[in-house]
Amino acid sequence: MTGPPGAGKTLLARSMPSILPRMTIDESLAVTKIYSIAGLLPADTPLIRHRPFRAPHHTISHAGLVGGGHFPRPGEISLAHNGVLFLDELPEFGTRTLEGLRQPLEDGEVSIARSTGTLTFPANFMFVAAMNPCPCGYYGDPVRECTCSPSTITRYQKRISGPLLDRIDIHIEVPRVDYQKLTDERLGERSEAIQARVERAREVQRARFAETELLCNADMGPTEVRQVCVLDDAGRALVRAAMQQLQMSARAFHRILKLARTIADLAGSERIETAHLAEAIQYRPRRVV
Amino acid sequence: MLAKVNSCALVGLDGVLVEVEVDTSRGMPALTIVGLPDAAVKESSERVRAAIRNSGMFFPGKRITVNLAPADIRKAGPSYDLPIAVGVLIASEQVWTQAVEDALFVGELSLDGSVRHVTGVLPIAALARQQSIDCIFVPAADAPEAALIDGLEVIPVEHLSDLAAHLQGLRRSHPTSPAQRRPRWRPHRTRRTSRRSRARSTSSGRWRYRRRAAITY
Repeated sequence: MTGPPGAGKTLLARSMPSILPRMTIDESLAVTKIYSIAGLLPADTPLIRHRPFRAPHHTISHAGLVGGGHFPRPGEISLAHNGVLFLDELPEFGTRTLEGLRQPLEDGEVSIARSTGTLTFPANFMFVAAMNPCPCGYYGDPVRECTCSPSTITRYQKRISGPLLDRIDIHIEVPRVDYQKLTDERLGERSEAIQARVERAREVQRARFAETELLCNADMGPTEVRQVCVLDDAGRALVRAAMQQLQMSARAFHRILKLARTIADLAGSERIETAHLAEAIQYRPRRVV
Repeated sequence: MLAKVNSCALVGLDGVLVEVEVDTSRGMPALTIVGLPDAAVKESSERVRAAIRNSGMFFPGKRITVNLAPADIRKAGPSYDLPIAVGVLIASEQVWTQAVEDALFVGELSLDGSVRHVTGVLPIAALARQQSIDCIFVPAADAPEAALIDGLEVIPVEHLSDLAAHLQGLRRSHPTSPAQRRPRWRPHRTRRTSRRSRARSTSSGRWRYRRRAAITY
């Protein structure tokens, strides 16, 4: 999420767990196991029922994020297993720390090798990050002028490497909220309603992968993508054009198809329509400068 | 005499069965722990000594050797206090029992003999189930966590003297019952009613009467 300060990026991220599907018993046990070992299990709750939400500060060390130590201990990414890992002010995190996220983002687990042996911790989390577009925070803002030089902006955005950005499926801009919207009597859709829709989509996916080991669209490999994400002629033309214009990688191509499949599931559609595909494509990253 | 008690080490997220062997022999009174212990495990000897004395039992004035097998896995943390204490009590013939063979012990001891919370009880209970051990003794604070694993008798331990009495069959401790296993959900209404009744009772002095009124509401 990119946007000026005070636009509500952190608020959006914090409300994320409330729309995620409820955990199954197996997921609960897996999360409880990690918290039990980390010594973070609250005394009055033997079993964790809510999806974890972890928001480490940007001064976190590499070992603190991915896990490690002399006796390897689970890091924040493992504590966010089956939940949300939120990194606020993404460019402020150390480069080495962020690059450590690459492998877990792909595999859903992290292997830590130490002299005492190699350990694998689960780390299947939803990665959510927020940042300002530039150091002053107002680049691209319609009201307030940005005071940064173009080179400063480029340097700021370069702090997050391309490979990491390539692994993020949904990039959104969070614009400033004006007075009209802020004082509007109408409320947005309730979290419970969205959660119900998400759970319905998960149900569809569970039925789709009933005979396999997969659980949801995100678990699909290239073979499954080929089977499940079938496009019509218009869709194929759209993806071809997008691939050329946005210079997308092979991974991005598969991710777009998976995302389009999920959007179609949420809409309750059996086929991937062109609109679903177009929505998935417009979530790809665009360099602001 | 030699005693063998089961306990558990944690490697990553998984438990590994550890056999705690305690041997007493004649010689200079001392307690030595071998089998790759870290600092917290080595210090365990001091806690065990004080806890046994302060629980109304005696600490044998013999040369005591404790081996944590397998000896190639590093043992960390204070959770070996309880199995070591049980091993010492059996080896010094203060506790006569066969019941420890199918049991697993974890717990940190306080100097007064009470048993404190340890981390990682859930994976330890999972290991016990997997190794078909019937019974697991855990700190009372961690019993609900261990009871999440089905098909395992979980016995909460408050104090070392309770455990000694239980093992000798003098005073049985009750396992954490299945009713306590799943977290109980209070219906939202009850909480609201009680909050309302509290508000009413504090606003009027007639607290008893008001409370009944609120419940029938």
